[in-house]
Amino acid sequence: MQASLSPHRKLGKIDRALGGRSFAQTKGHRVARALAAWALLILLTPVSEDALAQAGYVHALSGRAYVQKTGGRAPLTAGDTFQSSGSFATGERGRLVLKFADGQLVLLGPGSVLRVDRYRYDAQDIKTSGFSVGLLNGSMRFVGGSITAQNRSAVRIGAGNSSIVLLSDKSTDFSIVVDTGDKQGETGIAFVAAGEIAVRTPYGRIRRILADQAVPWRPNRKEQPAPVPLAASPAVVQAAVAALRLAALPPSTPVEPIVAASVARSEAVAVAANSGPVGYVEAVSGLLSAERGNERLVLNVGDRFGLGTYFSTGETGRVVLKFTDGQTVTLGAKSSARIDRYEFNPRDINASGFEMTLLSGSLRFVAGSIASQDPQAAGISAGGSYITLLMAGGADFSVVVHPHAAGGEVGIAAVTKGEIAVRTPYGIISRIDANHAVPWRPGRGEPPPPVLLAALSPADKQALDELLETTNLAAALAELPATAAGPEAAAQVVIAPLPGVYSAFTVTPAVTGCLGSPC
Amino acid sequence: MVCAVLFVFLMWTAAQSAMLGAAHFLAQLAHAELQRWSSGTSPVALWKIRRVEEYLENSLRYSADNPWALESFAALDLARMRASAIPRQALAEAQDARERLRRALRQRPTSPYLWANLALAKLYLDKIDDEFLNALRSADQLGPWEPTIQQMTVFAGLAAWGRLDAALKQALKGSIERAGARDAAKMYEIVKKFRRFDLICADTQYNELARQDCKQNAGPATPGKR
Repeated sequence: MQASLSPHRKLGKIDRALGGRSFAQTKGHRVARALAAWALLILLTPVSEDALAQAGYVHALSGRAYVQKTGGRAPLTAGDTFQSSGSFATGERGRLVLKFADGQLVLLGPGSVLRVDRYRYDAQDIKTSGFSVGLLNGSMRFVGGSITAQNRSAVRIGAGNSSIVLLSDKSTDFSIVVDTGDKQGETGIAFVAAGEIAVRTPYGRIRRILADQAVPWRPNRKEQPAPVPLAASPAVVQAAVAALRLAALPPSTPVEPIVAASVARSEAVAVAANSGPVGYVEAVSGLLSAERGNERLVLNVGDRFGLGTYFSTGETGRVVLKFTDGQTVTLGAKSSARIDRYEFNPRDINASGFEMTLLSGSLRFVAGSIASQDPQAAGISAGGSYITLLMAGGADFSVVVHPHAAGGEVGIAAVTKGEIAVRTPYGIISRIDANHAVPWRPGRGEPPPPVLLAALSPADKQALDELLETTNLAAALAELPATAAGPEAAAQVVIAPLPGVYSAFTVTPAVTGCLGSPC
Repeated sequence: MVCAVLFVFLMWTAAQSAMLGAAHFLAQLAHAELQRWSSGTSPVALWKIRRVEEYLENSLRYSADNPWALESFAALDLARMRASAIPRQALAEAQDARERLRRALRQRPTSPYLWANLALAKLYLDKIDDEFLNALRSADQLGPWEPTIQQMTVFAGLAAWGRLDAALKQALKGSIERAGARDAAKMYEIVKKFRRFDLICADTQYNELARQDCKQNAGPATPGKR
């Protein structure tokens, strides 16, 4: 726009905008005025172009989320803006809320990938507006904005190998889960909270899904089921939909992305700055250094620490961190770790979560309320590996990792209580039961199956000894302080399930039935 | 000698009775708590859920196959299933409920509530098989005039309508008709949730409630089709 105006008109516009009538009256000042105006134009132009190119912004996120860029992926933070095309991904515990200029909202669930192929929004000319997005894998909640309400024919939404067609001009709010990883074929779930949609799946067309209806699709089924109310849907469908509907979303009204992003960024910074301590140092020995942001911390027993704190232990250092939900993390010698996420809501455990990164060294994790109640809410990155908990009811495990060992990452995970799974750079260890351990290292192919701690092969024992710098793994693990929070500690905290879950059933009949005579 | 044997027998019987009494008492405590939750609107604290779980576990310790405790336990499982946002966990809860209901049915096969709850658990497990159809049929036959049974069977039946045989469909239509005389409003809510107005529009008992919907949704319904 600005490039097409003549310099005189530009100067006039800027002058008027600045209200510089007296400034323009003297001929001698004209040159200075022109120079000032050009300087201002140069300053403003990049901002304006940037503003025009922004399709939306990251409204909120928890856990890890990334944007795909040429040459790799970059982590996202709240308040980041994005342009009219790009790919977004969430980590295994990540959640991401994207808000577009027309008010449209996309919530990406954990382990999801979304591609925005095209997005154009012109509030003055909605007929030229439209977008095309595709959920490649994972889960997504979509809330329509101005474009879906006024020009839905220009909307393309994909989900795995399926495509979604909007059938209603009214407000649209639906959730989609797709898993394309199965060799047998795509599995998916669609739930509509508001509006109406149709879905073209690889197994046929679902002609109409009305509000409050859900429908799954999967391969190897003679007849795909018809949409039914969510309350009558299979348990997995209800739970998958519930997971997407836990997060609160902002209103789906149009926004100026740059401005809204700035607000979101400020809010996120304010929340982080005001976030109180998430735990305290229960025990420490040897050398311990800690940092938070640019601030170096001196932590002693009883001192509290907050989110984002980075810990590093020395040659003989060891530290026991206790979190507000009763969970404990013990760092061994020569270890470094960072607390990435910690949210604990005693009234709603589903809104709680924990993520940390063991950069190098050893760590013992004993579950508190969060991981005991909702194992999926806790995740630990260990070098290039990622540990997930498989069982509610508590967990106690240790992990040692050296990501920069010769040839590649070397590590071991040993479980004392509960069950875990580990995704290593060499393959997935789908389950490690209590009293079992699995080592991983380069040049061996996939990690071996779990073995009893007492029955490790001599080679593995030796490798473990080297990792732990001790002669006995069991002794080394036992040496770590027994700070189990476990169910006892969890029981002291009052946790409530989702509101209304135990409230009177309005349509679904009560399931308690009738006890005693005459039943 | 005889007296001693008799005394031992009496003591054994007394101990058994005491254990059964304790089992029933604990199951009753759990049931009362569950009923209180289902009529309330506020969230339930975890320690209360654990307390009910303990009641039921202790009850089953005294009497391993106590159908009362098993049924309440299954109700707790299904409630937790609904609360879960973790698919695998929700599935496990529904599976636990099904197993407990099956065990309870071995003790009390004439309870329509157990059959109806089994049908619900199977529905949540997405197992629409012979056991599901049999559970629906049994519930309908054993409690044809029980409003809760009518509602539960129609709810589960409408969710799997396309896979019901003609006789079962007819039986459920009968339930809807009978419900019109007992609790038409509740049955109307269920039918409305499934948008199966074709099942009530011809029934004069639902005229008052469904007139508007019947007008708007005139025309043949195509249940069970995508």
